[in-house]
Amino acid sequence: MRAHHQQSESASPANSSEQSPSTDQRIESFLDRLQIDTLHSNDGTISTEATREEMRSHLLMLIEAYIELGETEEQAISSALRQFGKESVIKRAHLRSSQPGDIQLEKRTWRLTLLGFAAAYIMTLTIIPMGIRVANDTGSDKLVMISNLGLFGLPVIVGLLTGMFSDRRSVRNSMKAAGLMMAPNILLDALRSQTLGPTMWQIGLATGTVVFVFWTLASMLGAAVGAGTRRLVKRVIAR
Amino acid sequence: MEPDRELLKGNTPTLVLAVLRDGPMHGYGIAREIERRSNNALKFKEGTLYPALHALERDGMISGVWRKEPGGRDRKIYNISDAGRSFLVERTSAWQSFTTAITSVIGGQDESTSSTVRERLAREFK
Repeated sequence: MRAHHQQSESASPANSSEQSPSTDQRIESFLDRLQIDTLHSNDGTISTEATREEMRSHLLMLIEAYIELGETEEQAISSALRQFGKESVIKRAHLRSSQPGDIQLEKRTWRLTLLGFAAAYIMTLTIIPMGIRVANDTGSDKLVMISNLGLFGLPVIVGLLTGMFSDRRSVRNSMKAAGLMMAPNILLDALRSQTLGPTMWQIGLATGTVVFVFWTLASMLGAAVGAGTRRLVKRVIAR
Repeated sequence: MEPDRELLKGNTPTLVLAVLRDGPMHGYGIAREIERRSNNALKFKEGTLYPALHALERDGMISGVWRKEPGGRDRKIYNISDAGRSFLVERTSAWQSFTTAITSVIGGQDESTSSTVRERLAREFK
């Protein structure tokens, strides 16, 4: 903009009804050419009419500012449209923003990581008691060992998958997700142990904390190995 | 000197969030504020601001509400969300690390440092 014209919240732009037919016509024609309806995604979050009104309002404020700078209405419209950008430029920007950007990718990665660790946690809760029950019934220690391996192995596997399939922050995401899943478990372990005796909650708390630390570290290790593997594979493919 | 357009495009969401951190604003106000803060160095086609705003809104980084202005025109006013604030903190830190690294490589040190280094090298290679 050639001159700074800060718009205060209280300052009112010209109402569209106050604009001359020529202004209205040129703005509407420009907005028609933009084909806003074809640019929007179909998620329904922002309506075509709302975007049109927003852009119209912006253009009218620009025109008003140029008129204040001494331009004629026709000149002001041309200057405002030039400053707003060509249809092709705006269309390209819309297209770019409709692709999954950094923010979306990060959110998607985080959601998937959380989901993975939630699944691992549920599996752990299911596998271990089941293993112990079956082991008690059959008198075999193998199932207890296998279920314990599940407890130790699951965060590594989920971390590994996170590292291999997410572009960024896999170690940090894994640590956060594993920690989030296991933090309430410390309390649960303490409460569960308390039923066994009056001072048993301390043992439960300690066990829960050890499992929490282990889960978090195992998930980070898995993610680091996964991310390393991913980088290695990419390097090999690039060659 | 005008900044690289591609660099500007990639950082538009960060600039928008930085402006909204200091208070709610409409699209036109955001464009003016970016210009003002950058002393007119950051100029972009203002129509391209809306795709960025809508993408941020879709991602929950900002929220928009329609408000009737005294003149009777409805304007969409954007507010930054908590998620947007956290994201801005991350982006700011990433940007600062990036610029520090680039500056160190391309030689952003002051003249006195440069001359000290030059003198030391001259002594060593004498």
